[in-house]
Amino acid sequence: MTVHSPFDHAPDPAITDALREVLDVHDDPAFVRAVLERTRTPAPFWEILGDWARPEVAAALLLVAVGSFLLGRLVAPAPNELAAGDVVQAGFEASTLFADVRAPDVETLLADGTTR
Amino acid sequence: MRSYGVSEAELAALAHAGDREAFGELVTRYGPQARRLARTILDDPDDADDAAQDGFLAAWRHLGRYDPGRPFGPWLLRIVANAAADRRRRRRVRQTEELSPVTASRTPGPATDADRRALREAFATALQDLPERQRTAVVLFDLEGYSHAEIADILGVPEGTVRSDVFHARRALRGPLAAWRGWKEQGG
Repeated sequence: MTVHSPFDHAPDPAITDALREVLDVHDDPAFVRAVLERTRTPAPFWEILGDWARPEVAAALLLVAVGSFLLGRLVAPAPNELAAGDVVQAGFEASTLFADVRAPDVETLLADGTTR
Repeated sequence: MRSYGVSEAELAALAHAGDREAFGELVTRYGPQARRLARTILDDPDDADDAAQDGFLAAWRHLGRYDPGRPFGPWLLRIVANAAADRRRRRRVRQTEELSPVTASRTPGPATDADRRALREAFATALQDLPERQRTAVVLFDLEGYSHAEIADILGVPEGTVRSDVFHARRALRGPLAAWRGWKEQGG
């Protein structure tokens, strides 16, 4: 038997013959008929759904979701952010900090400490 | 069949438009390859034929995804290989029967039918004992005549992996093959 290397780039005729004998399939018109018969049945609904859920559709949905989120942020600012100006307008009263249900930010607390 | 001589791409386009006769021509052309590939992955011939049918059906339903600028065979066989692997996973097909313990080093004895069957069986066993990817690669390369690059496309692995798989598969098959051929050359 000839010596072969990993770089063989052509089929080995001896292996080809042996494989053909072991994996022999007869030319079977019944197989063709069976396949064609199955093509007449409609695809199951999960395959149709699967086609709809292709990556392009998923990417479009993601884009819509991100766009909606960003648009929402622009139109309605978050109501629970306490700015330093709010405290200044309130006169630096400590009670303002405690009375307000909103949490004070760090700058407010530091500014309050320097005035004492 | 009237589509005899028409290119694969044309047949695929006709089939995509709903021409079942054109698709039938593709099934006729690629049926044996698809069935052999499925039998390489699944032990049971009936199961393998069902898997090959599954593959053709999936191809029929997704012909719109076929790129007519590329060969039809690798595209189809990739679908068939996936269908066969999927069927094997679902049915947990396992080869349980013990095959006759003929070894590769056995010297061919008297030329009897039993010897011929045993040596053929030894080769078949060596083939079945290969890891699935090696088995598939060697069948696609040595039997079906696909290139390493096409097999890499079918199996979804790098080309270098295919070369390695074919090399190791051939090495494992040559022992039993030598015994089988030796018997044949002695007049079996």
